[in-house]
Amino acid sequence: MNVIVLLVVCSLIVALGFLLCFLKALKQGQFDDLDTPPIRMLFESESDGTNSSNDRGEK
Amino acid sequence: MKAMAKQTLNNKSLAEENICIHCGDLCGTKKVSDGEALFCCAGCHTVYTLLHQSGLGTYYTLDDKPGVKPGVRPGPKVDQSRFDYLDKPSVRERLLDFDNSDMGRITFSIPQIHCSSCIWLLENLFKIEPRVHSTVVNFQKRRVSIMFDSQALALSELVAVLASLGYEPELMMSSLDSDRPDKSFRTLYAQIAISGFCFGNVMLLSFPHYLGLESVGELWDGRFFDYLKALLSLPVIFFGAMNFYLSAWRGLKHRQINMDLPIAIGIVVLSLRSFYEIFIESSPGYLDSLCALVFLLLLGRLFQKKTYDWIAFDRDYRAYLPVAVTKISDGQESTIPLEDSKPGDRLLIRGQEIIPADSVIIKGQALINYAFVTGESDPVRAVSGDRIYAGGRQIGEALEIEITSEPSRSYLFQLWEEIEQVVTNRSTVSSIANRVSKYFTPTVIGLALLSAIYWWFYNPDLIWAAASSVLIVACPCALALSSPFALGSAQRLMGKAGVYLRDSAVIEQMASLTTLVFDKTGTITRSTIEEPQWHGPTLTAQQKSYVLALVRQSIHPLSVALRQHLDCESDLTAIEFLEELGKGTQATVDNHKIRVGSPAWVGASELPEGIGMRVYVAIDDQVTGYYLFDSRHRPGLAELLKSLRKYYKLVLLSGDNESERSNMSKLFEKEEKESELLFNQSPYDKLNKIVSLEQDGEAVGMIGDGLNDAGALKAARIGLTIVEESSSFSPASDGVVDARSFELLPNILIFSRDTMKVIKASIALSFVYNLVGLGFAIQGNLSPLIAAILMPISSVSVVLFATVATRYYARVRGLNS
Repeated sequence: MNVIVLLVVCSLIVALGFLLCFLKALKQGQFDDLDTPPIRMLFESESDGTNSSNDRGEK
Repeated sequence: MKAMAKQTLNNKSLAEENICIHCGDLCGTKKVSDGEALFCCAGCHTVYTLLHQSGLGTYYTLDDKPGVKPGVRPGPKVDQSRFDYLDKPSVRERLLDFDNSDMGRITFSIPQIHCSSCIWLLENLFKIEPRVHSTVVNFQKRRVSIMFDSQALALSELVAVLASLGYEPELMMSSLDSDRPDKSFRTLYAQIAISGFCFGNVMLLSFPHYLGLESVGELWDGRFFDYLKALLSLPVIFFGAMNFYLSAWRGLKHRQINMDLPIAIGIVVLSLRSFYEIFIESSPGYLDSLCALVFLLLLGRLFQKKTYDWIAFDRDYRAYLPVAVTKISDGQESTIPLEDSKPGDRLLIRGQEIIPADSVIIKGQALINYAFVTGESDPVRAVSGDRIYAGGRQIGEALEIEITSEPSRSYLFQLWEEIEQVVTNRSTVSSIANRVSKYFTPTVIGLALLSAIYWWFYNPDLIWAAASSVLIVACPCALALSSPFALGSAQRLMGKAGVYLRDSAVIEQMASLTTLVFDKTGTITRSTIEEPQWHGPTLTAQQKSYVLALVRQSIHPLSVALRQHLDCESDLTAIEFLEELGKGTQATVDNHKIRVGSPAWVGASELPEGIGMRVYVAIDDQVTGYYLFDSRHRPGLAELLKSLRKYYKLVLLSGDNESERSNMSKLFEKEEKESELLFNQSPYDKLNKIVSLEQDGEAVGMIGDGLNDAGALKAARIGLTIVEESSSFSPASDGVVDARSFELLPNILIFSRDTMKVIKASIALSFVYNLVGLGFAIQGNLSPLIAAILMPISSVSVVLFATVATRYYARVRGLNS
């Protein structure tokens, strides 16, 4: 049964990593606007070289 | 603008082919065609051409009729000098979010944003204006933040580009002090994430115990899982549940027992007992229940916290005034910020602009609509030398005025100040959860004491266990969840129906109303006059010019509308002009006697009653026909008042004169419940009427629109404003009603009562669970397993019940169609 202790600790560390990722995203403001990005992603990206959707200074 | 007027439904088929490709309006007299597409006006054509030249034709494929008609907002055409004041360093500094040597960022509020095409166009702004680096749209807040080359591109140019596309930013006095984004959501999200994480893991770590295993592994006598649980629950206790302690403490400081007090007690007792059991008694404790409880309560908080970010519920009068005015000095026009203007300055007021300060007219004929300030819809005529007041809208020609008192000392400002003073404490009903909690908390503490005393006599070992179990079980988790979920879903459903409430607590106030007070102009009548339609033999051009010559003399709103409708030149002058209020007007034009007005005025035989207003025209005592104006009453008004009369006392407070009394009394006065009609009400009269109604024990709901209702809206238990479009100005209120949803108002009000019924039922349901739990607790045998099953089940079932029942009632009331 001792192995389960090890496994639990490992899985907790992995899960903690995801939690920290979420908190970091939250702090960056990725959850401040939940309405616009779903609309934005439907726009056709254009092939004429001007990079309209990638280098947007999201702050 | 005239071309915008909507024609009636019966020529809809014709309209199918006659729609402006840019904005979707019908193409009227001013239509422009460029061979392949039709436009309703030159403005739309310009934008379309500009977009195609910039390779932005995609705009028209993303969404149907995406365009915003340029120039709907104040200026008739985009005149860049209007924005010159933005380049003043003082203004610029306040508007920009940041500004370094080559890059600046600014955030604008643009209420016209309404569809995916808008987002696309604004985010591709750099293709039209290369000095813009990037644009990010926040659709929900209707905001745009723009990064641009702050050296090369002046702010005024940037705004002019936006305005030329029809997206003129809202630049009002109050918006100058840009507000920082609200970050409280982030804390709540973080609390939920952390509590959810800990809850899940603690629950998993408790599973061996649920299955009857005493120990797992050999580490620390097989108690490793218990210690891990204790560690994982710390963030929940100290961070997740933080707000409950704070709120309970705030309540105690004000000598109030709120719903968060028993919750805080429950959490504290639960954690103390669990830690005691884990570390002293070597038993598993109740940390799983604790984490589940906090997680669910936080979810409830999130659900309750629905906001409508693009609607401003607390705009003050300053939002109504322009930011900049046109100053004339030595014959030169310049644009200055309003706050820099001082008494003695000469200003130019163009047609459709708002008078920014109390002033005297120097030059020009003023025709000023004070509807927003006083509620009186007939415009006031003034000539040079007359005093005019801030807040009026000039509808006539351009004016030159001289400011007599500072903008901050205007009548409008003083009105607002006094309202703020009079309305200090408006009555509210305390929330049902807090009312229950007032009795609930002492009862629970009493029960805990009783069971402690009982076990002291019979089995002193169980005192601690029984008393703490009572406090744990009685923790009103389900009780505390029923209100947020019922009110939260009700608020969302109302939002879908076009009624946007400031927060969900407004629903409780709404359900307690006994009296409804309506404003007239702009509330139960529309503020715009629709295009009239001629009924009768077609008028010759000559006859038209006769009528025009006559109505030009009159300032009655219907005459003004007719003048715009006729839209032709007439060099004839009307002599012997005569106008009688509420009847009509007459004059002699070119030796013909022209009469325009009511049937009795022109001598027409009365036609059967119908919808709408008829303005008859008689030339040389021959009735030639009539113009039919759509009824200015909002559609469905009669049915609306009829159904409201069953439940509420109705009062009409109008700033208008008595001329509409007979029409209104037909609508308002029926035998079932008394109703009151008061006319010539000043903003103060309205405020005082509400206060006196409240003193008589009535719970008053005020439904209004303009600044003249601002005091009444604030004094009433709840104030609702009616708006034609959500971007238009509305004074501070508890809720904003989309004018298209006006008919739904009775259903909304009744639905608020239904919601309270749902809350009461779910509170009763949660009491049942509490009683069951108490049964175990008092006997002293509340095992962690029972707690872990009972508490989540009670919470989840109450939440489900509250949400489903609210939705059911919304369907019954026809809200989610």
